[in-house]
Amino acid sequence: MLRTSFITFIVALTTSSALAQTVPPLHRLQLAGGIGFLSGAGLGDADANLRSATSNDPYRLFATSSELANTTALDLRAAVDLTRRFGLEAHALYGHPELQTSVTGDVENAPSLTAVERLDHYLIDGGVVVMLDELRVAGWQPFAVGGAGYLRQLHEGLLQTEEGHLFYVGGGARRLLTSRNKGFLRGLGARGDVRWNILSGGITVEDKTRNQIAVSGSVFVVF
Amino acid sequence: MRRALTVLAILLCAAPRPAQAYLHLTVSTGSTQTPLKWDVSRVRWFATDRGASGITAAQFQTELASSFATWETVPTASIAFQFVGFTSATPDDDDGISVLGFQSEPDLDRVLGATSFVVDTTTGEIVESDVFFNAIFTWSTAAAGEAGRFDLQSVATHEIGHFVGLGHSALGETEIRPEGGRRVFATGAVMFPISLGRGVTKDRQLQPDDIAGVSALYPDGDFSDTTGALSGRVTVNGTGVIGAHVVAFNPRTGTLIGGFSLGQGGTFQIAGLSPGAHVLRVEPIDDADVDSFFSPSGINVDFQVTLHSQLVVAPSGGASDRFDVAVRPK
Repeated sequence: MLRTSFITFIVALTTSSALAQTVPPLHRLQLAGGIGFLSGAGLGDADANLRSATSNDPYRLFATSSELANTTALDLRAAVDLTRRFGLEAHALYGHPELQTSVTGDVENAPSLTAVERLDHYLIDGGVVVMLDELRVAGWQPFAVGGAGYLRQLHEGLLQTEEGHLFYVGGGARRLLTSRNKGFLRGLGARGDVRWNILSGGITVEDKTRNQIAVSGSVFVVF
Repeated sequence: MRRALTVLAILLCAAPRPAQAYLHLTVSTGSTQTPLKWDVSRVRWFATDRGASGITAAQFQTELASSFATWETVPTASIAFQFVGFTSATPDDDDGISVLGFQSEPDLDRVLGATSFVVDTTTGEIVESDVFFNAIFTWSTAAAGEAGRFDLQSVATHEIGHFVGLGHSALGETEIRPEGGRRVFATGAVMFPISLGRGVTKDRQLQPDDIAGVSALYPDGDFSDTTGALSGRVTVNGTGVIGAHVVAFNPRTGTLIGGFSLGQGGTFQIAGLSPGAHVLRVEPIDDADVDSFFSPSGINVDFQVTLHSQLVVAPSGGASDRFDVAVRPK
C-alpha cells in the first residue's frame, strides 16, 4: 500500500515536470532525508600516571589515545529559500559511532588493546544557505552553508549524556528532479552535502575543538 | 549498645609499598560489612606532650593540624576535627580520647606509624582512635623535606586517613628488594601502605583515590549526585575472583581510582568517579602483602594483569549496569 502511494506520488510529480524547473521555488518548505558518512575525530591522549618516588616526573601506568570512529549517519534537513541567493536550513543528524580508546604501554605488560563503547551521537543545527546559481552545471545548483548547532552524545546504555556545540561550514549541490506548480507537493529533488564540523564539548579527552567531516546524500520534497 | 574494644592496627611501612585503590575499613555484623566511621560533627583529638628525634611537641601538633586540615578541606567530604590539647596519655590506651603521639617501637622496625580504634561493633561507629608514630625513625618537619628523614606531615596524613576510616589503597608499583622489604617506584594514593621514602613530601597532598574514599564515607553537598559508580565482577574461567585490584581511569580527568573485588562471587563497586567513560585495569595484589589490605583468606592473586575490552561508563548520580571483567590465569 505504501509502495503504491509512493509510486503514485512520483508519477504525479513526473507528469507535471514539463516545466523542468531545477531549483526549488522560493518560500517553499523543503524536507530532506538521507544517509551520510561522519568521519572520525581524534579526542586526545591521556596517560594514567602515578607519582614517582624518586623524581617529579610522572610514572606512567599506561597510555591512552581516544577517538570517535567513522560511522554512517541518518540525515534530516528542512530548508527554505528566502531569495534566489539566500536560504535558511535546519538540520539533524544521528549516528552510532564507537568511542575507541587504545591502551598501550602497560607497565606490567598487560596486552595492549582498544577499549570501545557505542555512542548515540546527535547533531542539531541551523544555518544560512548561499545559492551559487552562477555555477550551476547540468541543472545542479551549488550552494555554500554555514551555521552553528548543538551536540548531544549519549554513552552506551544511555546512562550518561554529554553536550557540546558545533560550528560548521560546507557546501553541496542540489537539483529538482521533478516539480509542479500546484498541489501540496511541489517537487522532488536530490542533494549532496559536504560539511566541516568544528565540535567543542561533548565527549572528549582534551578540552580542544575537534574537526569532523560529514558527507551525505539526500532526497528532498518541496511543499 | 554493645560496645567492644576492637583494636585494628593499620600500619604504614617504612619499606616500599604497593599500589591499590581506596578501601573502607569495616566490621563484620553477621553477614554484612559495616564501614567504620565517626558519627560526630567534629572529631576531637589530643597530641601527646612529648616530642621525638628533635621535634618538639608544638612542632608535632602543628604538623598534625596541617594533616587534619588536608582531610577536612576536601570539598566533597564533610568531616571536621578539633584539637583539644596536649596530653600525657599514650596513643595505646583505651581511655576514651583519641591521642596521636610518638612512641618508640623498636620491634616494629619497618613500621613508621599505626592507627588503632575502639569501635561500636554493632554500628561501626568509631569511638576512639589512636595513632602512634614510631620514634625509632628520624623525622622531619621541614617544608621541603630533609634527606634521610621521614616527612612527619606526609606520614600523619596517611595515618589520619586511617583515623577517619580508610584502609589501604593498592595504587602503586613496587618490587621486592633482595635484602627484604619492597622498593616503591610510584604510588597513586596517600593511603598506599608503603612510604614513598625518606625526604619525600608528596604524601602531604591527597590524590583522587584518597578524595573519593573519604568522600564516599562522608559525602558532602552534591557529591553523590555529581559522581558515579562502576559495578562489576571479576572472573577467571567463569569463576569469581576475590581480592582483585580494579582500577578505573578516566582519560578526560586523568584520575585513577581503584577498588577491590571483595563482594560475593568477585563483585566490586567503585564509587566517587567523575561521570563518563573509564578504562578498567585489573591486577592481582602483588605490590604489597595481601594482609596490608584485608584478611588474606580466599584472595586470588594467580591471574594476569588485564585491561578490560570495553569502556565502562559511570553515570552521574548512579551506578553502571553490572558487567563482567574476565581475566586469565597466570
